[in-house]
Amino acid sequence: MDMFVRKLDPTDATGAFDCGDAAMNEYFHRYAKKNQGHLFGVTYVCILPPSHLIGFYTIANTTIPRAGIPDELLRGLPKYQDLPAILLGRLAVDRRAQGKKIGELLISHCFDVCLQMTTICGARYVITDAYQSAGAFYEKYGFRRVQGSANPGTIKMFLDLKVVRAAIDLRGKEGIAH
Amino acid sequence: MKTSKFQADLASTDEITLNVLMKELEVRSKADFLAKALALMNWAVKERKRGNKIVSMDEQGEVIRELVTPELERVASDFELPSVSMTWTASEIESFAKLASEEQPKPTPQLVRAMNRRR
Repeated sequence: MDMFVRKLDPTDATGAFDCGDAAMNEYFHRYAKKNQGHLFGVTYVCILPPSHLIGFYTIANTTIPRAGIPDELLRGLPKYQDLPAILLGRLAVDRRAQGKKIGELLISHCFDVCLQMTTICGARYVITDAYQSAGAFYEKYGFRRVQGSANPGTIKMFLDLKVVRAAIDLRGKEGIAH
Repeated sequence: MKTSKFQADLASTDEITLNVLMKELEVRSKADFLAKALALMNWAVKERKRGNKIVSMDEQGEVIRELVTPELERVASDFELPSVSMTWTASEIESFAKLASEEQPKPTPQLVRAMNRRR
């Protein structure tokens, strides 16, 4: 059976997941369901049937502060409010499933969810605060590095959802099977 | 002090544990033992509500084990939950603004592939 992505269920057993990063593991084992219960973030999981959880990502609404951005740098963007965005808070793949493009499956699912959200509540960017070591992964999918992080271990990155929409529009033009 | 009575059915293994602990701790009555156990549980719940963890440490102060139970996690303070808000430095906002105001790059081949693999 093919793997698939769906929303984390309260009955899912998260304890066996191990992506090799203690902080990510702890978040998934202990906080993902709780976070979801409090409506602070929604976690989606990649399932290898019958019930192995081999990857996850968590998203939430966020904003990019408008204050401090010079008007001349906001061409085409609203000047009267913070910029609505979606925070890709965490994304991780179990060590036993790494190297099998599970990350790509998760991020494409995430982008689909983000695009759906843009039709409901508005959001222009996907933002993530990635580990420096994961920066290249996100760059492959078009994320751009924001300079000036106060934390040397992580880097903020963003992707304009219009670029994601354009990627879907390119499907026929580049002869991709669907 | 006003007191109340109640009965409890214990599994035989729990009864053995109870008797062993009472002997080790030199607690003379089950009521006294229950009162001490209750005080201990009450303390653990209060600590978790404050966001503190219940751990055992060795003599050097190294954490040996952390006590995690579904019941205690249910009362754990919300402020321990990871925040979903982000703080931005002034440099980051400026960098973001410069990048966002530019014409965005075309979708990467990997993005095009990713967005069409499930369609």
